[in-house]
Amino acid sequence: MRFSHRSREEAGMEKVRVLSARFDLPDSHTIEVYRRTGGYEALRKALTEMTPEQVIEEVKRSALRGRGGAGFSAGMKWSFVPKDSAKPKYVIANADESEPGTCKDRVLMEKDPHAVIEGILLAAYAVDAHLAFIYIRGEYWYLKERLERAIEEAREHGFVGANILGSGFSCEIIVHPGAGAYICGEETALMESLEGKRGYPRIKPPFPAVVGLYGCPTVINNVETLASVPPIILNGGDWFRRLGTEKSGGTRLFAVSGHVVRPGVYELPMGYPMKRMIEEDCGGIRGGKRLKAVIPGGSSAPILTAEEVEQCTLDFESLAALKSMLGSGAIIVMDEDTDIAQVVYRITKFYEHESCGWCVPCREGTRWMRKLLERLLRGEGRSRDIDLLYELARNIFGTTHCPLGDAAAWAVYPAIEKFRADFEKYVRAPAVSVSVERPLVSEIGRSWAV
Amino acid sequence: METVKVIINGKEIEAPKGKLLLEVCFEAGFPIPNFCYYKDLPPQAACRMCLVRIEKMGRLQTACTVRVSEGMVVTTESEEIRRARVAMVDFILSNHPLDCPVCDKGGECELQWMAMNYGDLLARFDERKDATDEYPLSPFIWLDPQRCILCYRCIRVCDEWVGNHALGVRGRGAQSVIVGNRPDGTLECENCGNCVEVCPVGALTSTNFRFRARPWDIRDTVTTCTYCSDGCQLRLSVRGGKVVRAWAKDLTKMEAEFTNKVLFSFRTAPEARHNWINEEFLCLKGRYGNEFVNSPDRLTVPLLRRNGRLEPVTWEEALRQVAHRLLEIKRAYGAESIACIGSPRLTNEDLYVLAKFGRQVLETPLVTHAMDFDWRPFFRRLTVPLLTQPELRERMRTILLLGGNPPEQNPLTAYSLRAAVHRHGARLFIVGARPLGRMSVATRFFHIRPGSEAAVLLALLEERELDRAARATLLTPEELRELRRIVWEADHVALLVSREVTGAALEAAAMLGGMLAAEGHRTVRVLPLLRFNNSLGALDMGLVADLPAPERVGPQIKALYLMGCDLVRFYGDAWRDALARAELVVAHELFLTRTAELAHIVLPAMSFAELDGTFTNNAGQVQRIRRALSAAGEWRPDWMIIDQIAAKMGADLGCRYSVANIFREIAETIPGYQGITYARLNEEGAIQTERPLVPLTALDREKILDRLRAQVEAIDLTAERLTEPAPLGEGLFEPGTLTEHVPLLREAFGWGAREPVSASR
Amino acid sequence: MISAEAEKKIQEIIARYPVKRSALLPVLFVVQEELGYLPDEALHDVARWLDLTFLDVATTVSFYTMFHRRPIGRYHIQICRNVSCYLCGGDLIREHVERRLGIRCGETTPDGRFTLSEVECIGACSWAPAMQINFTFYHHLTPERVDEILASLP
Repeated sequence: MRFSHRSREEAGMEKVRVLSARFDLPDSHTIEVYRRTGGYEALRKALTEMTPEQVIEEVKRSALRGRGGAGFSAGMKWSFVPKDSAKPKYVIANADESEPGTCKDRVLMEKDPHAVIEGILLAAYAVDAHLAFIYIRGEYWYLKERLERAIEEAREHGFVGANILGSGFSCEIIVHPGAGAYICGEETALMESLEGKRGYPRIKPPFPAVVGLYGCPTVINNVETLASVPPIILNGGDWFRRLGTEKSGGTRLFAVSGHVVRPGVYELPMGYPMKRMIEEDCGGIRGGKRLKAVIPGGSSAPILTAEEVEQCTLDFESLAALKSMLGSGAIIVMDEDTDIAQVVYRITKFYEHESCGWCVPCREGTRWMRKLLERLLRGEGRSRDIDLLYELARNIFGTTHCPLGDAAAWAVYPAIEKFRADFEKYVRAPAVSVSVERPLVSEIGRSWAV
Repeated sequence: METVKVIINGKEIEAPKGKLLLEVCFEAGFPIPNFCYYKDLPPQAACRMCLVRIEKMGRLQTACTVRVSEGMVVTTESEEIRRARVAMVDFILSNHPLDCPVCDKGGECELQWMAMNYGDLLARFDERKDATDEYPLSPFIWLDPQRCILCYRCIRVCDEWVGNHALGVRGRGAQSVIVGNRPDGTLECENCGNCVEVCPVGALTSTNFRFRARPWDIRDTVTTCTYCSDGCQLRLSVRGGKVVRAWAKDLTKMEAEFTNKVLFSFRTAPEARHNWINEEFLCLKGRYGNEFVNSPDRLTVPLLRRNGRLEPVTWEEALRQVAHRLLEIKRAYGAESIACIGSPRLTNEDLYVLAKFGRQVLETPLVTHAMDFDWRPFFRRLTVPLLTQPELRERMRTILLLGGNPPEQNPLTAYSLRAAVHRHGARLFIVGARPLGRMSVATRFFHIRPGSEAAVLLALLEERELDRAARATLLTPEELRELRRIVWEADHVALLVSREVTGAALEAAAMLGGMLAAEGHRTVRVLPLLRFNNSLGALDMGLVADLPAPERVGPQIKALYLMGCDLVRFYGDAWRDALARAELVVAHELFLTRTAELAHIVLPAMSFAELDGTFTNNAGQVQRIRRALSAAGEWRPDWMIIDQIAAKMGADLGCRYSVANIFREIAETIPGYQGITYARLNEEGAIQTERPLVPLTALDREKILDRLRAQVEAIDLTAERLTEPAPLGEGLFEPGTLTEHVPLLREAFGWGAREPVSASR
Repeated sequence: MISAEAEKKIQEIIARYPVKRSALLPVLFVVQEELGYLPDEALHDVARWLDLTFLDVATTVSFYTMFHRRPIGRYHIQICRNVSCYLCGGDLIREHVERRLGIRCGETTPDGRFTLSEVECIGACSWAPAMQINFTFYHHLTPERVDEILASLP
């Protein structure tokens, strides 16, 4: 397995390696290598020199935002945990990485599992939790085993278990497998799954920080987010923030896939220009082709045209301004020969398969969109079917129980807006006209409803 | 209660803080369409019909999950919201089969209404639908998965109302389907049909109602169930002289105009809900057990025994015979040779007239009813008011169930117990010989030796008796002390007493109520779990003589006037011989029962569905039954039969062919029934009788305790604890005098072919 | 239904969690590992161990794609059909495997050796096209490499 992460020097640019610092070292996953390179020093510092509140402050200062997709401020999330609650608190590391295009948590857990563990322990200390879970997707079974071994190593060295480093603080970590459900990456669905139930997202509010696992206050963060915490504690929140932009602090891992010469997992600072990443770090489009489109944050993120890529920097704000999102940091690059309609079909079928089925618009809407796309791609569609597809996606957006519906919608209507031609090319005059010409509803007065 | 000010559609509303926005909107006159929301059930936010715009919140919010807070500004009608509703209906209809012409729900389907009010004129779904076949989940319930909109009402109702937990969802996404709890997906449940009741579409349908009628062809009559003593109200739906179904849906506004403003308030606006004591709950029997009234086995004409065979005769002949023979026997052997035995299934009016007949015309002291169980000691010592179902649900916080199996015997009570726990966090303590199914809401189960219920009462009444009680019950003294503490320290305490509690223990239970109430002026109620729909009415109407021993029939008792009671079935073969020895047996009956077969004169009576009258339930509440069917045979109301016989005997019972008249007399003469009239009953529904209570001081506490101790001494200490839980259907699935005539029940439970009747019609 | 060793492992797993029901997914994996799939009987056992009903267990199992209620082949070939793999020729790999094994997606070879499935993103996007066989990942697939892999399986 090759993992591509260019050093700054190689690329001719200044780049700091925070998360991927150990990736190139042999046996980087062992505790020996981890400790040798400063591992568990942050934990020691926190337990001996800092209060839980100070830990949270430092994380807030770092402007660390969730690396799983939602991008919520980690420090702020931790501060929502009520300090006066008599209930036990929990920390959950979300390792359910299932967002299409995303494979960076996999690299992190394979190469540097202890970073995740230390991050978990710091979070637990910050919110007074003594039991943490790593919810890892079932397909990553070998990583579950690797994490469990790492936890045992950590235990042997006194970093996991009772009275860590003599501080009086105790914490256990359980690695818990998912079983093939993308929706269980959503934080409340994850908790349902961890409780042994069907992975339906919960009604929010209340939020997990207040009512979470087993109804108790819970901090739930992506594994990369947690792995970012030890360096923040060691070097300070300000240091981390300055690596990136004012509002999107630090560096993060990006999983680049698709039509680039060098797909792989890259660590880049927030604010790094996307075009540069594609052309320099990833070697440009393979076969010398032209760039057509990029899906910037996993399949949930609205697609970007090549023009938009020109202006895009890799941070939350820039993507938001382009009406897309940084999401899971999965960059899917598509060349000029790509059939966007086919791509959209793939993604739509994915959302239909992964829809939990709880709410009407997502359950019925994704099925409808998929069937419509199939008909269109078979050549049996009309131009107004594309309009209908657009409308369906707009109807799903903002009406669903959880963001999966939004993701399904975002995969579709921006693509129609920006790449309509790719859809139109499937519209042919039918050889035999079988259906009656039906006017659009808007053309008929609505005579029934009040 | 703290209130907040919210602005809905520009109107300023004051509402209780933390109340659900959807409910606040309804009460303010802004109904919001919804499928998955259901009063008192956990909100689902699944159907997304109730989306509204709340200022300062980025996306539309489901009104069913938002709780109002100070200053909230809400819009429930706007172009944006209209489009969202259209979209949701569009999505639901995308895979929904266009089954309306063949779907039972057509005409009363919430999806139809929703589509008419919020849907688009044209369906734009141009794809192939994923079709699925319908199939039975149980002998009573069919599922059509394609019609299902996955609102999860059925699952919640099965969980919360019934405690069966028999329904779930299998699969994921658009492949989700409702499924039963057996490996093959069928249902192992009590078949109450409440899931069918709440289904907004035709996904769940009842076997007995499928393809039988359209809602607009039906005549509905509100009446009271004829089965257990809880007294559920139900609507009998009749078409073409046949009962096609019984249901309990809240239809307060159903008759209103077909406008969207009114249409959706029926289910959720609190004051629009009908005030039935059972809300919308019915059990297997109440829902599926009514078709006996249309059974071809109903007796249609009077029968007279001639030459050893029962032969049809005219009413005139039959009545004349009865009158004549009764007078003969009275003259020859004296009044005490005639016993009048009524049925605890019949109405107060029927029973009152029988009692009056027995006392005034026959002048016999032997006027009683087929008591399955002797509750008289309980009522003689009643010290606190009886507990109604609404009170149980809403006001009681500490509930003690002593014995019994409410899910099987008093299902509405079981429903109310669950509601008390779910809605108000009431604590339920069950003391019994067997673990009960469907009562997982109980806080704690005290598992006692069978037959030791009296000892529990002893422990509750007398602290010094804990050791003795512990020995008898197999509980530890600590557990009994804990139980004492629970009961003596709580307020709003309910004591539910079942038929394992007998004799002196019953007296003690009744007394205990008053003692608990006296301690700190607490609210205490008792609920005797009587068996039949009018068991209490039979006691109230004065049919309280001891049931004569069957051996006395022949030597001392020469005539038996049986009104609706199948003594042979009820009390056993000793009565078969007794009946054979009697000189005269007159039987009012619906069917040719084993008792009626042996009678000399059989008079066909009206069933509860053809009759007007009243029942008194186990809370002492009087409720109406109403005529839903016109007579298909020559049957008459029981009271009228007696009235006519009395007339032939030269006596006037004053009925004047008016059941309301009889009730007027009941109200005048029976303690507790004062002030109740038919007009009031129609207006208010259930009216609780003001039962005379015995003041604690008037009770001889020591004597009762002595009798209780003696009872405890007699407990069989070799009996071991029963570990097997009460099996599903122990009460509900067994054939009875009425249920055995319901074809669907026969078939479903495999009761086999009915015994051939020996006499001709 | 399962070995004593597996049952012991299951009890250990159950003991770790604050609430029994949480152990459901990991326990199901142990059972499925032993039996190859999850028959009704096994679900009854699991329900018993966790104080759940059969309905609880069966409906939960049906939510997750990694659990199989019917036997599958010894080697479950799961080829990713999602975007990144599609862009890098995942369809060709799938077609190749279908031809090689003579089965379509969703089917099992008659000798019970291979079951072929199309799956959603398995987290190998940067090394596409990719597949999993049972729990093992295979990246940068080409038809030749696929043939090598299939041949190398014991």
